[in-house]
Amino acid sequence: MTIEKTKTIDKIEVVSDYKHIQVRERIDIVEDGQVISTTYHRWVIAPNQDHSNEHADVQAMCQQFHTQEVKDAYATFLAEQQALESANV
Amino acid sequence: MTVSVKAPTSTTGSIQLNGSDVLTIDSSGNLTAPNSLTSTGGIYLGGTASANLLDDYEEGTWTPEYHDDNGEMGVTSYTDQNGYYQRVGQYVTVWGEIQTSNTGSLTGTTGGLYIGNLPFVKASTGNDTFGAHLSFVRRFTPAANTTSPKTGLFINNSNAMRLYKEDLTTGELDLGVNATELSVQTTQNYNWLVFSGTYLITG
Repeated sequence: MTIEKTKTIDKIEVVSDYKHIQVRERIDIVEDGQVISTTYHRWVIAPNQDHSNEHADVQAMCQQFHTQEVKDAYATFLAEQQALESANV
Repeated sequence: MTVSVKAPTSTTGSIQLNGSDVLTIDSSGNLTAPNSLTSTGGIYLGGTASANLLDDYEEGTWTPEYHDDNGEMGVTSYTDQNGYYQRVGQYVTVWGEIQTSNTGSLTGTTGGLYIGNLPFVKASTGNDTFGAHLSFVRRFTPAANTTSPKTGLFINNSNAMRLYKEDLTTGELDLGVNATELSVQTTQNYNWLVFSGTYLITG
């Protein structure tokens, strides 16, 4: 009997006004070639985040969508959020 | 493989695969499957309006982490980074625990303190519309006349939860926690939070 754990990036989505990259990893427990259990692990890459340690497919998506224009727009958005918070205090 | 349609009684029918029912329907239109039903388009529950459509369900894990206004933090290691989520339609409930084992110097941290790396991006829904509950808080270093983190708000267009504390001068729960209020420690069990919350997501 062979039991192994496999991890696969099975979903990469581009969401929000600022092109966040939502990543889903599928984790399968496989016994003798049959999947006996599946779980998911998720994370998100914002335009201002480093993506150099991501899977090649995820990196490609980040490079395509996290343009300088998107990064600048997101930085402006974050600054506005922080200014709003300061104004409320 | 043999697929057949059966109507064993006047009120029920079934689709069989190799002689076994894989789907049964009664005269009221109720469907029954012995193991599971799968519908990529969703299922209408309690009505047929768009508000009755359940189009996604998922559960899994994520890895919470602390970060500052710039999405960065010098925390070098954590004792716990346990995050879980359950998505039902457009809403996601997250819960988990985070505590540091070595914060490093935190040199260069600026602005507010967040729990980041949430599993989904929050939709833009106006300000302060989805909050988080902190059920256990231990060993932060709050500024004078303020408390440790007491609550959190999910930020629009972001996968982060902003942490807030109480202003002991006014009694109001409206002060953002600064990133520098993490306790700078090289031992475990500091900056410890147990949290939960629900928010609306994009897409």
